[in-house]
Amino acid sequence: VDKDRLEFEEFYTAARDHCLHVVLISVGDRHLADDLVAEAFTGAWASWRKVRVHPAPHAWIVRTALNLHVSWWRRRRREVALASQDEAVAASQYPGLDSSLVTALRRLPARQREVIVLRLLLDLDTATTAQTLGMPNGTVASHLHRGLAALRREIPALDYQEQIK
Amino acid sequence: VNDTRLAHAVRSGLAEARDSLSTVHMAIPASEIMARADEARRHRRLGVLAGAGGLAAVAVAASVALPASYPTASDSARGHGAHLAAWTVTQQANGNIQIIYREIRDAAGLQRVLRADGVPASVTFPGRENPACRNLPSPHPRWRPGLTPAQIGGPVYWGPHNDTPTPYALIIRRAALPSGVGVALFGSGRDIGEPYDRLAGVPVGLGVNLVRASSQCTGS
Repeated sequence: VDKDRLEFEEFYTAARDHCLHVVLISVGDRHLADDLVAEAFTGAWASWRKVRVHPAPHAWIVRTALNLHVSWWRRRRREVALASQDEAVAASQYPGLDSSLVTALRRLPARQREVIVLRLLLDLDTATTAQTLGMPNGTVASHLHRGLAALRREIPALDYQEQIK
Repeated sequence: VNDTRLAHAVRSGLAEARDSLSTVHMAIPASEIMARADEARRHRRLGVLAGAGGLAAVAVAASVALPASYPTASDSARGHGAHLAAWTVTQQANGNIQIIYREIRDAAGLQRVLRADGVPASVTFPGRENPACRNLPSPHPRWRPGLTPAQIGGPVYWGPHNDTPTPYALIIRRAALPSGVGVALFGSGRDIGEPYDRLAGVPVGLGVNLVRASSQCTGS
């Protein structure tokens, strides 16, 4: 058990910020992202024997976070931050969250959004994405194609940018 | 433009968004994550016990008696660079209200949360006590190893909290608050790091009295 705890702590320390950033991009709300990721890691520890052998545990966290209810952590958040941290939070700016691409991503249907997040943001291959989302490889490809098409319709400049490059 | 090239553009754009979040950090320590999962597992076990044997009463009693119902965190939140909260109010599975505090700020906010949880409460700072509050005799039982909340008996007591370096926790047993009695808290606003003797010391930074509940003092 001690070995498991150490292993989980190492995983959590290494993956938590990365997972938080990905979920934050997907949901656009800092507190909600915090809650979702915390609950997902809670689930990971509860099922650590399974999650530790997953081909992409951090993808398991992201996928779980995007499918969770977060009532417990929401209740927990009824607190007030220390002054210095209030200032730190207020001073933080996340301009990337307001980009047209991120906004369009959040408008996608859930499955398309998940596939794009796992394939393009987490850089998973199709097979691992399929395993993480519990769908066939072909369905992953299909969702990716539809998601990209939707993004292209929302942001024609994406084509333009790519042509320039 | 085919999917591959478009995917490349999307990947680049999302990477830029992710990089802009480099100052955003997950604040909750691993110990708290694991404690939450362990607590949920314990509650599931108790639920199974009650369901399987019709032993609901036993399950409730066990949940009250379990010292492990407290957070079992052992890591230093500060050491992990955690986002410390000045105070956190948690409603425990047994109905008790636990206030973990490092500093008493936003007294009005704390008062609002406690009242929303059904605790007739007044929260003020020293020198700003609500003149409408009438103190009642308020013994302050102290938790000692081996004592359960039921054995402590009082409606308000200082309990253990292992989330060092902030081991300050005040527990309000709503069920033990007599009708017409509320709680008045007096926060000193002192920072963390004060010495704390878990066996004998009442932690500094927060005083508490039982008061006569009234709309002017405790809101109800």
